[in-house]
Amino acid sequence: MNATARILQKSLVREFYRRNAGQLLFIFILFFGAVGELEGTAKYTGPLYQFHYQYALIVGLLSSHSLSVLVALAWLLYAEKNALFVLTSLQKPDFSFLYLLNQWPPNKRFGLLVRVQLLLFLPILLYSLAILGVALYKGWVLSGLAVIGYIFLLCLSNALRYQYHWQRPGRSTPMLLLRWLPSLPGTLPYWKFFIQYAIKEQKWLFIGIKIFSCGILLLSLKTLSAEDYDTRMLSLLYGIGLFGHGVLIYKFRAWEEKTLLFYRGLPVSLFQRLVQYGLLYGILLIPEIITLACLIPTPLHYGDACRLLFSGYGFLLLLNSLLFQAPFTVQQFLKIVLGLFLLLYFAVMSGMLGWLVVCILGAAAALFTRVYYKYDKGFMT
Amino acid sequence: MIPPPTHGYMLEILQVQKWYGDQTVLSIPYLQLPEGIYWLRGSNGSGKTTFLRMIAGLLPFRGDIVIKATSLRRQPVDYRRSVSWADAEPLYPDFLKGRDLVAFYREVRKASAQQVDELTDLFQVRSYLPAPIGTYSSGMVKRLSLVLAFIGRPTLITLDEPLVTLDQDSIPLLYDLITRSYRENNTSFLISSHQDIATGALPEEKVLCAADQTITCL
Repeated sequence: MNATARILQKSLVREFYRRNAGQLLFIFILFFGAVGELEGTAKYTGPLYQFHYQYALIVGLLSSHSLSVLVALAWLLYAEKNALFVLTSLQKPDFSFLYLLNQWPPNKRFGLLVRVQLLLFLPILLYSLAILGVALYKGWVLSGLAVIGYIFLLCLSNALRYQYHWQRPGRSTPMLLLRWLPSLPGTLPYWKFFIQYAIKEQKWLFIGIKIFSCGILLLSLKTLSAEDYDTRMLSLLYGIGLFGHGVLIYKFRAWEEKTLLFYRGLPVSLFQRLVQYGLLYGILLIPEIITLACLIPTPLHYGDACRLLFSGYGFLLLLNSLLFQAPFTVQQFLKIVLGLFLLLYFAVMSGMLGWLVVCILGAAAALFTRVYYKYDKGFMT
Repeated sequence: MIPPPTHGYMLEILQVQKWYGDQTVLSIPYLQLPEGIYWLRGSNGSGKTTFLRMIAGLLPFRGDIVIKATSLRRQPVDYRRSVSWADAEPLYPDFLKGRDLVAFYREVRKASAQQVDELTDLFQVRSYLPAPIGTYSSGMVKRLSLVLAFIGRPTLITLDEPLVTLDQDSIPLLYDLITRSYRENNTSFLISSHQDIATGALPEEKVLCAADQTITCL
């Protein structure tokens, strides 16, 4: 290994693993430590059990479309995590010395970046060898090659992005996941600022919340049948997903107070301001709206879908309005969120979710108009 | 009980009080200012920025502020149409482009494309408007904030430390724009600055003093 490769390995690869050691260990324990029981593995014990457990898992991955899509998505997210780390690191002043490598021929530099990305992908690469082995053993050669091909595609595309950035220092590089999003033409209404913020600066939180919220809906409804139709548990689980949005709303407000202070001084009526937040939270709930739309009329009834949707919308608006009441700390805000969840719990259990929806929508609008202009962070400037 | 505004003044401060916790930051029983250009002076922590932000409608307070008979309490939208503000250290979202913000201001303040073009040319910001604000230097962000403050036809423009981070070439441009806006459009200005404003650079400049938790006209 030459000096340059060693420097890159120390500054990017080792640093990435050092910073993410906790998360990677957690995932490792999840997959190799806390193993459950899969079909045909019960008769094995010790290391042999682990081997057969992983074998069954890989067979499932290769033979089930839904599982393979899920795994592909997880690897894509991991590749994005890699890219975010490398691109952010390269923008830091401490890494400016690496731009000396611009004197190298592009293909040599690209080779170095591919090497960096492969090292960042090492845990998945190693596991993919096991997948390839199982695929060959089972005679599913194409599936095995597709897995390997997909991983190399991710690595090469990331390396290309690093190369692009390296050649254009200071220019922001769009994230792969953002490329497919439509550009926002014309003037920007206020709500779009927040959507851009969520996508560009809180995308992992945003994606995590959406996966959790929509996943809960899908998984809960799998257990729902026409004979035993009861949406109370589903409503509560969905409520947990909704309140996960509370963290995002808190970040929205903190960011708004920091960088969008000018908006309060612009000639915009309270009603128009409320409409902007209404649009924002309506758009934020689009994944949940699509998920619910896919689940009606069976297994979910129209009325329940509407109640779920509007209760979610109302709670997001109410949380937003509450954050104009006073500059709450995260702990104070989470207590409020918990209180609202208890309110939801009682409404669901007593079959009064519909009434609660009307109340929280009214409360959100009333509170907003009462406190918007009175908000003050309370610091002297 | 807040007294009714007296017509004929550009700005009236009516029984304004502002606290942070137990500390009174500003207490202005009554202040009337005719049209003009005002230089707000005072030491650090004397409440200059708070005063300007209150006038800009950014901070809550007790009392009322009236600009040309338009009350902040009773006509919040019309009031905000008549006032504009530029911060001492402006902060905007890094990922937004300068042109996004200019377009947003233009739409909200219903300004003409011609005015926006003139301002962007005057402050020489046109070339970097297509870039994200995160790539701007502090001086570029400052120029952008000044462009935004002048968009529309406000009656009063409040500028908090407008000379900070502005390069020497831009300062005469700003003075010139302030003078023209005052003479041609009757736009008044409230400017806080620790740096001395060059003698004769601004017409009929008057001084306001921020001290002892109040604002007085010297």
